[in-house]
Amino acid sequence: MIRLILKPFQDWGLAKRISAGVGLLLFILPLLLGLFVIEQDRKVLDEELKKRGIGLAERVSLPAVDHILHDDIWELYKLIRDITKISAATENIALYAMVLDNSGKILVHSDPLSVKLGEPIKDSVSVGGSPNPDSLLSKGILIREIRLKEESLYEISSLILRGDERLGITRIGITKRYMEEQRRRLRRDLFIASFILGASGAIVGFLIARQMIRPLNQLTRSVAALGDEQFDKDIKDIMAPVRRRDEVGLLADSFNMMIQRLKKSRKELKESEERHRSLWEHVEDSMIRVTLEKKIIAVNRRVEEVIGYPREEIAGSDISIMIPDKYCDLFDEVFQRTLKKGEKAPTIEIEVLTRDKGLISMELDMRGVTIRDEVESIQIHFRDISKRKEIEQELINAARFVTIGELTTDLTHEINNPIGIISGFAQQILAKMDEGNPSYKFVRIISEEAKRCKNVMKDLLAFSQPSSFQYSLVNPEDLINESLEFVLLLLHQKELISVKKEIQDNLPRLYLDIPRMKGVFLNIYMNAVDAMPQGGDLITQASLDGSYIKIAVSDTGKGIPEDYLDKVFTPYLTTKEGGSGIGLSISKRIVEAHNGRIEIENRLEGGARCLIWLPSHEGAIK
Amino acid sequence: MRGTKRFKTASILLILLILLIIPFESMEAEGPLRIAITPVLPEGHLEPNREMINYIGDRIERSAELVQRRSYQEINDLLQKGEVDVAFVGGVTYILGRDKSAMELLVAPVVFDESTNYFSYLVVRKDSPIRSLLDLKGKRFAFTDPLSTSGKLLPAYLLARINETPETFFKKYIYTYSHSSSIEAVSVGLVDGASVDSYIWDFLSSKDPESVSRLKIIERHELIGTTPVVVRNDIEPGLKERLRRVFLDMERDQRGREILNKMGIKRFVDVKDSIYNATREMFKFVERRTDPGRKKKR
Repeated sequence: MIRLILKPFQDWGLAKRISAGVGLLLFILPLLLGLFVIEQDRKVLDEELKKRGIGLAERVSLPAVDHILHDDIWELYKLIRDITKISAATENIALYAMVLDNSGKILVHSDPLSVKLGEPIKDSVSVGGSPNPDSLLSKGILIREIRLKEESLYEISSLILRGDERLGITRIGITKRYMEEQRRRLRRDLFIASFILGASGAIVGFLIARQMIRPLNQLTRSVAALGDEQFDKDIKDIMAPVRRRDEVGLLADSFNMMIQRLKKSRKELKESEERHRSLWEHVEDSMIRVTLEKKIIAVNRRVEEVIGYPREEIAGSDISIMIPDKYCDLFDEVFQRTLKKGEKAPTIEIEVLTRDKGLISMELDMRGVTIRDEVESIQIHFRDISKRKEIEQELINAARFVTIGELTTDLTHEINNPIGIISGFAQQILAKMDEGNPSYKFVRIISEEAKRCKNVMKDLLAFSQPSSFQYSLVNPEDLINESLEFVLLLLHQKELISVKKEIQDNLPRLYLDIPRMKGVFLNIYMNAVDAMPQGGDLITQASLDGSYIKIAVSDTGKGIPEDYLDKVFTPYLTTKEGGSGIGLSISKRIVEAHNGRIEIENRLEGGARCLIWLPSHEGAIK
Repeated sequence: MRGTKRFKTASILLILLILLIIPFESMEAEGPLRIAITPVLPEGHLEPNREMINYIGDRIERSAELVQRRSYQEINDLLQKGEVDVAFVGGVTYILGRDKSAMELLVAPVVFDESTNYFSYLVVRKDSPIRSLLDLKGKRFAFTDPLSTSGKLLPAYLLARINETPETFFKKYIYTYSHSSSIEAVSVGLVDGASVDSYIWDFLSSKDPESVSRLKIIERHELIGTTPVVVRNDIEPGLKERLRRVFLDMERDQRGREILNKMGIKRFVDVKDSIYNATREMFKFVERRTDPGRKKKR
């Protein structure tokens, strides 16, 4: 209810509200106080009125004695006429006056026409012509409260006494009208005074409040004026122009401090933003931020350089314009996974369609940008892996070359022996055979061809003879890591393979031909990965074993069939489809060329393990 | 010692006091001229009375003193005791005073129609059903003065003629001792009727019409001999003559005329004692009728 009444005032300004409050208070308090006092004063006024009435009655009763004795009705009349007339000049409190004789008959009345003169008046004070003595007070005064024509008045009865002899009664009707009017006037004056007080209070309150609130308004204006451009201005210009020592001044001070802090944090924010922008712009990856509907929001400089779209052109486009059809499903799948909050989607390798319809191999990482636990947008890293692909190819080629070299040497030796035997025996036959022998010619051809074959082999050997071993020092861990890295590069579904390493700290370095030994590890790792088409653990362990460093490569695949276990190093023997069967034999040779040892075994927990012992640098020197 | 000293101081003071008083007494050997007036003119219109007294004093080159009494009887007594020199009295007062050799006729005013006649008006309230004196039977009535001709003698005479006395005829009668009071008494309803001097009625009608506005005249009775100015019986003839001339000459000078005008009097004239014979007749008639069973008033 009160709230309902106060509601319209809630829109008022502080100054108005304070002013209204003070005004109301200054109006109501004195008013209530005054009304209280007036009410208290009522009894006093009432007594005063009665006293005046008694005074008037006695002014009649005392001289009336003589007039009654002389039956001087006219003088008696003048007496009460004067009482009513005199009081009429000031306040006519005596509405009427009359003198009754002892029998209660009216001798005179101030308004004779209103009564029957000479007739007894009928009321309780003078019943039966003899006033009841008990009804008159000992002083000869009786006060009754009566109503006359809707007016409340006191009727004062006063005995007219000559000594102890009672001559009659004076009765005067005293109206309360003037007392009431006086009270009304008092109330009106009080109301006016209170109103003036209230109004002045309201005005003064308003002025003071406005004085107090003016700085608040200045603050408000300052805040309202605080646009972006203002922040770049001098802080002194923004600061609220308030110079006070009171609460408002303190508020202004804190406000100014807040502005300064705000400006500082804005500056920091701006710098941070610039750093981020710089990072975003200058990172080597192409970065694209898209909405959840795959609309491009932002791209960095690299996108413009690598994929070829200027950022103004690409903004708002669908990301799918740069995804070739064949990768669309993959991309979408990963995108959806990223959408699921917090999930880091696996990296995918796809080709990306450039603006001029070229294809670039790229590795894509998607990450949800979450703001308050809600994925707001998706950030996609495009890592250009075309260079890496090329290097990979080169490496594979190089490895293949090394392998082919080794293979040729191997084959040459294998073929040389039978060719040598063929050539030797052919010459022996030729030496014992006539030239005229019809077979001579064929044998000679055999001999010559064998010789030519030998030469070819010789040439081939010479050509494919791997260059002599190039030794250098290498940290076993680096060797393993680099080899693993290489293997992982080649893996398409690397997420299936869990790579684990248990490498002892501070292993001594190895002294070996790094490319060849990398080839060995590549071979072993590839075998291990091949053994786990459904995925599994690829575990590499390295530890010091005497003067050797023992490196174990384990897989969690099927293992090697028992029949083949002692023949794994035999060339051209393979269980793998498409395998040549010479990888491990060559590896064995290379390891042994480094004074090392290689073994293959099945692990108890399943899978196979390849163990390689390589002499440590210290060991090799020995 | 001390007693002697006190006596000495008292004696010196007494002598000084006597010395102070004696020269005044001897200087004012004649004393002021004392002029008595009943409140003929209504209250609030007494200023002309005072002016008249001052005028007379100025003209006879003697200080004049106004002596006011409420009733004619009191003035009569004062004249008889020689305590006033001049008095404005009523006709009845005069004939009674003259019988007692208390006063001598000086002059009488002309107030109506160039004669020394005037009227007694019987007045009632305008809204009253009373149309004649007879209708006032059993009512309340106001006389002015017991010795007033117009205010008492005439109505008493009229009643006597029908064998009534105020006591028998009226339910209640009162004396107001002034014509204007009688007028007021009727106006306010204190009484139902009154008999008043036409001079006062006319005076009030012109000076204070409001005071008579509620009243009407139901009967007019002409009376011979207006209220006279008398002097005490033993006044020295020189002074009497001087006073007579002052009154008679009043209308001849500006100041006198103004005073007369204010009082509603045209002039003062010499009158013979005989013009009051009619009054004497009426008085005797009333006396005769009321004498046998006359009750004491009141």
